[in-house]
Amino acid sequence: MTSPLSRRTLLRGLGGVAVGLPFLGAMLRPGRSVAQPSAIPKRLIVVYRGNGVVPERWFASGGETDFTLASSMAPLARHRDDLVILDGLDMTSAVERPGGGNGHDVGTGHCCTATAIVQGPSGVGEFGHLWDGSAGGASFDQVAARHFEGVTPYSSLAFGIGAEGIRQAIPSRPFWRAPFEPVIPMHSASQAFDRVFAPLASSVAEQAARAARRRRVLDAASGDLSRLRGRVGADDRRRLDAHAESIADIARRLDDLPGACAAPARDDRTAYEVLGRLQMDLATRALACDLTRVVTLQYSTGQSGTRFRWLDHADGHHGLSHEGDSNATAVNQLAEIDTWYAGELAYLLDQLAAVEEGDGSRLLDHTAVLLVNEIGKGNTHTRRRMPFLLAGSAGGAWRTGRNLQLGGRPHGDLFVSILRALGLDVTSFGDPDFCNGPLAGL
Amino acid sequence: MRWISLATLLASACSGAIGGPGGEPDPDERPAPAPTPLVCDDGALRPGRAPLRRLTRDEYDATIRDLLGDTTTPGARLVDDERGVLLVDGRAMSPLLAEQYLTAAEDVAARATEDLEALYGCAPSAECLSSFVTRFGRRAWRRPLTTEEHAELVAFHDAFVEEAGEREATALLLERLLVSPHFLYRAELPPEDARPGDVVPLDGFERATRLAYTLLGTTPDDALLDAAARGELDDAEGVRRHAERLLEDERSEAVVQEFFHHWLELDLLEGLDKDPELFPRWSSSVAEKMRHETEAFVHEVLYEGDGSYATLLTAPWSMLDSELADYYGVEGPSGTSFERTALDPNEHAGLLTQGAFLAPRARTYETSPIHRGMFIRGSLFCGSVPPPPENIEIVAPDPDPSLTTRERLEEHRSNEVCATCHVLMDPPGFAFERFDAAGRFRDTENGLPIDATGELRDTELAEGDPRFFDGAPELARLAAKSPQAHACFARQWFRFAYARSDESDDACAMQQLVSRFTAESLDVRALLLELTQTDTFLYRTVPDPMAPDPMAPDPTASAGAAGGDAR
Repeated sequence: MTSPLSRRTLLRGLGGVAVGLPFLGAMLRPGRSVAQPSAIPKRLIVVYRGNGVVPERWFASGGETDFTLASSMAPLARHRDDLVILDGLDMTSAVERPGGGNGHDVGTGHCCTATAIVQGPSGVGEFGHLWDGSAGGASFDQVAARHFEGVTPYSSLAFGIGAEGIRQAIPSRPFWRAPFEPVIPMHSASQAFDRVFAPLASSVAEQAARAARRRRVLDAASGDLSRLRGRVGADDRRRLDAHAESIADIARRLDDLPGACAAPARDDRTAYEVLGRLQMDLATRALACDLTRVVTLQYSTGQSGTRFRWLDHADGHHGLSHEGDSNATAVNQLAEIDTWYAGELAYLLDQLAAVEEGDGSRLLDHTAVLLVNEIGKGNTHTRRRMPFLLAGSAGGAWRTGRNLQLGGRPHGDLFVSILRALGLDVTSFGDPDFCNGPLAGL
Repeated sequence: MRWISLATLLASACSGAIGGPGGEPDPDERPAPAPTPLVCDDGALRPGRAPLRRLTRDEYDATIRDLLGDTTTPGARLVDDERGVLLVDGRAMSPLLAEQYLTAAEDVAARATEDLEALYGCAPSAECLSSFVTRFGRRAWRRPLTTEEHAELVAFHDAFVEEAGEREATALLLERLLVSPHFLYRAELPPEDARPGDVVPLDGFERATRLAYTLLGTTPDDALLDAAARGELDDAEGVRRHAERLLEDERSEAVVQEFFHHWLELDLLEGLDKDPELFPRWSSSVAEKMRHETEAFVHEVLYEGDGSYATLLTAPWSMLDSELADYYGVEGPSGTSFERTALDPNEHAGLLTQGAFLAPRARTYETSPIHRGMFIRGSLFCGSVPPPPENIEIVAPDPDPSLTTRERLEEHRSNEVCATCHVLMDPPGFAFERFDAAGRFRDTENGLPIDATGELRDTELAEGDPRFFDGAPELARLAAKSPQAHACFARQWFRFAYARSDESDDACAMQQLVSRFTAESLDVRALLLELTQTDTFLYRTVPDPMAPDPMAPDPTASAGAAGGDAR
């Protein structure tokens, strides 16, 4: 299956003759999806932000449908009917079988994998951090990405906001392709634009020529890798295999040139509060153009000292999150941070709602958007009652506009439900000891 | 490969008082583990692990610069390296990074082929190309090409000449060389006839590569590769001679400064804010000058002075310009160049009383003895600090202007659960209480007298030294003489240079480093030289290509069992 407007399709329509075409952006207006009504794909977006929340201002009050949003979720009021509030979801694997490390490390490694983290060969460092450890398995978004491999040019696209150059992979990375292979995001909108959208602006002939020369170079590199592979030990082989897979991933895209896609203009601003929206704009376009079905957005990291200057905060997020519940200033500022992130999520939902699919429905209706966090609350590092939040229904897989009381069900169950909604035939995810199958009640 | 049990480490670090009965609250009363006698002089070679290393971003830039004279720092457009503390090894490969390498290679190749004759060193011809491939291939892959490789590369070029022309074919050849794992990784391959488990010497080219990246942060030049070809690196003495030569190269200081940058975490100064009402003179320019002060100080001690670790910790002077001296409130130079400035030896001592260490280890409005103490405990002495217990509310004490910061941290001592670990890290942090949150000396806090006394628990000090101190200079002098601090500094360099932590197999290498370091009056350059003399540097164990990957997921086991401490 290829995207309906792939260049290959166009080339075929032209009798296979590679001719220079003008940039096809005009064919696609922003705000319209390439998907045809018969086959509107299902998509997944996972948004990570860290350091927990102020629970009493996050979780809603009231019943399943007659609920009242708490103050930190106020910016999401206009999307009330798109939400599924998950109250009482536990990161059970991280409680019962953490695998070591401090609270943020464990939570980050578990939040999307539901699997015990593993120490690397170098063991544990001076502050309980793992030197070179890893998540113990693939995160659910990457399992979905593998399912869509070859279907779209990118099996997934990862966008980062303030998540670059951080020490130690475990506390830094919630998304993993496999153990020891963290998903490293594109750190700026200009980087994302140059990689994903800029090549689409060149003519078919230019793209074909570029693909041909790249294929030669990549073939040669693959050959070098496979010869090297036979002469190294297991640890190095794992790295080389990841490298070979990465090259195969690029090569696959060469075979299926993406179609035209009207993208926002290149924008190289990098301020945290601006970059998030730029990345969301690009992510939305990538989904609308069916360049990928899976998107992750990573806002900073657990333990990050991001200072919310635009909220007039003097202290960084992690420091604030350790203040006591009796420190009203700190609690208020933490709630302001939660509210700000809720507003950014609302912006993303706005963008997804504004894209019209082939049948007139919204892109948001065909997407599962999940907000995740590595801990529940900053000054306890609890991994129970996780402040995850679901929006959209992945094509009607569940009803939205609900406030669910989950009574401590494990987060692995949620991932099973989402993966099934995306078309994967899975019955368990992560550590099977802490997964019951699809999330009951969803 | 050895898996260290987290549970064991924690138990040994924090006496087990948390959550368990029978714990010993006083770490001093814990019995020391029985030492196993270390035998290193039995003639056995113990090289330890040698993981495959990918060029870091900085190494990539330096390598491109030295290979092609291209100073555009193409590495800046690669995603930053994922790294551990002091382990600046490029780690994971990802589709994103692989694509960025490809794009970077295309850009570099386009620039390099603007003048083909300059690149080749001869007028383009078949013969000229062949010699270029031989010469440039050796530089790029840091070893002579095999006959087959040479033929393949020439054929790769020739296959493209007819359809695209000489320039384009050469660009493609360069791209092919620069995205190859032979370029991106410091590949070290065992001799064909070696068997798994054999300990073999690295060949001269591999040693040249290690020397150049370890000491200069870049690829070996022709002189070093020629020396390797002549067999000059076949014995440890030859390696030492060349290491001495490389340490004279001005590029080596960048590597040394990078070590201090990571060890002291100088990047914490970037974007560091202070409460403008409490610290009106704080600015990003002050922060930048503090970083410069520390770099200039390291330079002065290591390249103009005695080069000693003890001097780094205890020098009663620093490198200041007029603005920074004025900020600190001390008499200093009148100009904008950083000059050696004498300070009050009762209050100042080396790196640890410099703003670059003090200001980032504080909050915006008050000091943080915990963060300063954690550096002393963890990074200076390599003592373990376990993570805080799970699901205990960890709260910072509320601000109270009638108390000092130290008094407000009293909870850490009075609460037994907290005390278990905080007695290890708070007291060394109290030594710096006479320096405020913005790195300036102060006599009082909130109008109250400051108590900068404390003790170093569970720490090996020089024979006869007290474990008690009053103020930063006394603490610094204890550390400068402490065998544990000396071993820790050597260990930090081990990690930095070898891109992994030391393991049980490295005990003899560590002992060798520490004994040379102390025998040479704690000369940091002697330590650097000795890093090239260990079995870990000179030899490697031949891996077994057929061995299963211990990290590979086992589909039959529950995923949780992969946790290293579960078995």
